[in-house]
Amino acid sequence: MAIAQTFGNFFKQKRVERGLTLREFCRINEKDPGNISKIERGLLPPPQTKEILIGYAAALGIKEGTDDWLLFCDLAVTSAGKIPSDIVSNEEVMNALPVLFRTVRKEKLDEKDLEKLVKAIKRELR
Amino acid sequence: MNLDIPHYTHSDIGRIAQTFLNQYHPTGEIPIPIEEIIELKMGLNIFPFPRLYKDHRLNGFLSRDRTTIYVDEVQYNQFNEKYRYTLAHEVGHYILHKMCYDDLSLGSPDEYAKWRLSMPPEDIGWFETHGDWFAGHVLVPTDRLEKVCREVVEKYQDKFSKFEVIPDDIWSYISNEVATYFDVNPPVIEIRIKKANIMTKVPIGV
Repeated sequence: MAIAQTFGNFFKQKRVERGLTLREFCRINEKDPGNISKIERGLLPPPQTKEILIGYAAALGIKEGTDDWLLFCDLAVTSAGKIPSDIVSNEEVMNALPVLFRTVRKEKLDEKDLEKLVKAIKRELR
Repeated sequence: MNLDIPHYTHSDIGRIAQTFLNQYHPTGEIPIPIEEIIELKMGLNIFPFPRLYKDHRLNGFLSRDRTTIYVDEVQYNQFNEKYRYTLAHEVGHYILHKMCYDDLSLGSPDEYAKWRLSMPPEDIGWFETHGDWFAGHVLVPTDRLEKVCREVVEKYQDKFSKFEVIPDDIWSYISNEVATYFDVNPPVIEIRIKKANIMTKVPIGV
């Protein structure tokens, strides 16, 4: 098994171990899937308050005082400093762009449409 | 830069979809748990993208680095059947068009826009057709479809036998019920019934 190196990786690993999709995890725990997905992908910083961390840990089946709990808290601290800046890099944008897609409309795709799409993707990377 | 369109027939994609199901869902139970396969078995991310359809007329897309499937947030939250189809379609690109994603070397959003606008719509059409065929085969495997159709036809056999002539569009009605077994929208079943030639395999009113 690969070693989880970031808070987001570890979060996702624990969720997957519980056999829960993001949608199901968020439904059960009343969380926002967009935000949780961003935390898992390292696009949002881990929460820094103990109460919120405890809440996430409970949702992931991590008990306080266990090795997983210590790792969870350590990663929350160390990952906080590794979160990318507010400016989305060119590489991040290029990796996220769609390659094959068809819009559901009759008009031909134009430059403005693509510009708008790239802008929206950039927005969702933070 | 043009992308080479792989030449797949509908049957080719059926075989690829079956291999995919054998690997990720060997029990073959329906409805096919496509979301679980993608997230829990393949390790991809699914991200609900706000206003993707409303602002960009897109149901979803696979990111260029093939790590994340972005899906319209409304679909994600409210339209389960449509959502499942979008996921299966995008996984189709993941499985069938890997080379296209790997071969594409673009350095900036401007280069990307130029490339994308130069893509002939009919080429894009082929890639999208592959995705649709893959989604149909994965969500509605032929053997399961035939089995469910037999069950549903059997259930209504008394009613059907009262018809003097079986109406041509009877399968459209049957599709509504069959669709509930697979968690897909009825038109997906209608297309699969035609493509899999179920009409000749499952007689009605005999």
